Amino acid sequence: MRWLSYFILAYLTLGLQIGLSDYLTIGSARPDLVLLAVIFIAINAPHDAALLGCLGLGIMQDLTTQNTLGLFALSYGLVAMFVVSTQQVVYRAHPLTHFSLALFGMLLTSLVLLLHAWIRGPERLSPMLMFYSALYTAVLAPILLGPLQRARRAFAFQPPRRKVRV
Amino acid sequence: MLLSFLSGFIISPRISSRAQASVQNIFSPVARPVGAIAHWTHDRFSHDAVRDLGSPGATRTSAELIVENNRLRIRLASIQGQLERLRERDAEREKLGDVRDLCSPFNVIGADSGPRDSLMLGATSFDHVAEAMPVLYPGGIAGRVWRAGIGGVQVMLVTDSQSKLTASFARFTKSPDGTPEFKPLAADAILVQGTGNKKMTAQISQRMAGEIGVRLEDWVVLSDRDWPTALQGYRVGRVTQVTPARSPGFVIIRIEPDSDLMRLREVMVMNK
Repeated sequence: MRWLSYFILAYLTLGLQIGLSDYLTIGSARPDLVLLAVIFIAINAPHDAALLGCLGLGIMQDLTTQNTLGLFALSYGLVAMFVVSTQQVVYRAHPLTHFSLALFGMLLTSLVLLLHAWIRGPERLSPMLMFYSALYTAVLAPILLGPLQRARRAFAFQPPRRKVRV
Repeated sequence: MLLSFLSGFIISPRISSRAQASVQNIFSPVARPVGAIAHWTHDRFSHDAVRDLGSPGATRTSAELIVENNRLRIRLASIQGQLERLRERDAEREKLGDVRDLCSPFNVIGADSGPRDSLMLGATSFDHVAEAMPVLYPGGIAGRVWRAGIGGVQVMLVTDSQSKLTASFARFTKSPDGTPEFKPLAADAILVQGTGNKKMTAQISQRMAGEIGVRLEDWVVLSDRDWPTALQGYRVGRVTQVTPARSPGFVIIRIEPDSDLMRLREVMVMNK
């Protein structure tokens, strides 16, 4: 994977999340644009690069939020582990794939954040609000990931190497 | 991943937050222009009316506003004169007076990238901004500085679920000669907590609510010794709902700030 393209994507995504997230709010549900970048990287990049890249996105988001350091890194790492395992069985460019992976990813992230709020606190998060945010992010996924999939050449994702048995 | 789990769930936030470098300003070149465009678009197409605090139900005419404005100016001049005389008599050196003189304005880069209620400012610790400094906006108190570093400043808003302060109720009433009068409703302060949804709540007994006579649009003003003296009585929000709580004999009072704090473009930090 071309890391310069990755960092540009991370920078733009986080900048958009910081600048736009509240204006994109519907009711109180806020989309997670960074998660969409995580899905994009995880669904296309080779295993190790995907995990590292998604973890990096999580760490960068942890540095720009009030939440405890490590929560988004853990969440996106778990999301990446799942998405990478589905690379061979899904149509990467299909909108339904984007929707379902984004919904699952956001639900998993919400679960981690809710668990942390419940166990460690002191912040309180609303489960219903997190669910609506997950739905909202999932609806945005086909709209944003579709064009991004067409730009995957810029990332030079390499296919996984086949093991040659002699 | 293991380190992330340890940092998120095991290690105390007091330790891990030290490693949480303030890097918000790095994303400023993208976040600020994008936010400005979104703000312009919102203002252009939304129909948010300006609220008349003196008459929330129906906006008053220009003539009525001019008359009230003139009365307030005269009253302000009178109060300032009295204050000067009191200051001269008072031997203690406490910070009183116009709060603006104690603040520095800073631009807002954007909102929290996660689900929390916080703002990122275009300021650094080199701008004499430090943790726990109060942050104000034209409508009252916005919050407190949560984190200040060489890469940026993060503000925890009063509506964040981790925010707690004590406040009291007050109301503007009209005296017989028509002059608006600021009247505190009770001496006892109540605990106001953010709910994380751009709102705050306070829970008090029904008896206390009846004694105070809390009504919609009543002001909620700061009454907290952990905050600077100059901000005591400063506006936190307004009452928007009073509903019975699940616990019998109690009511929940919902409080909202005057503006959407997450969409502020500029704030003032009390750093002097």
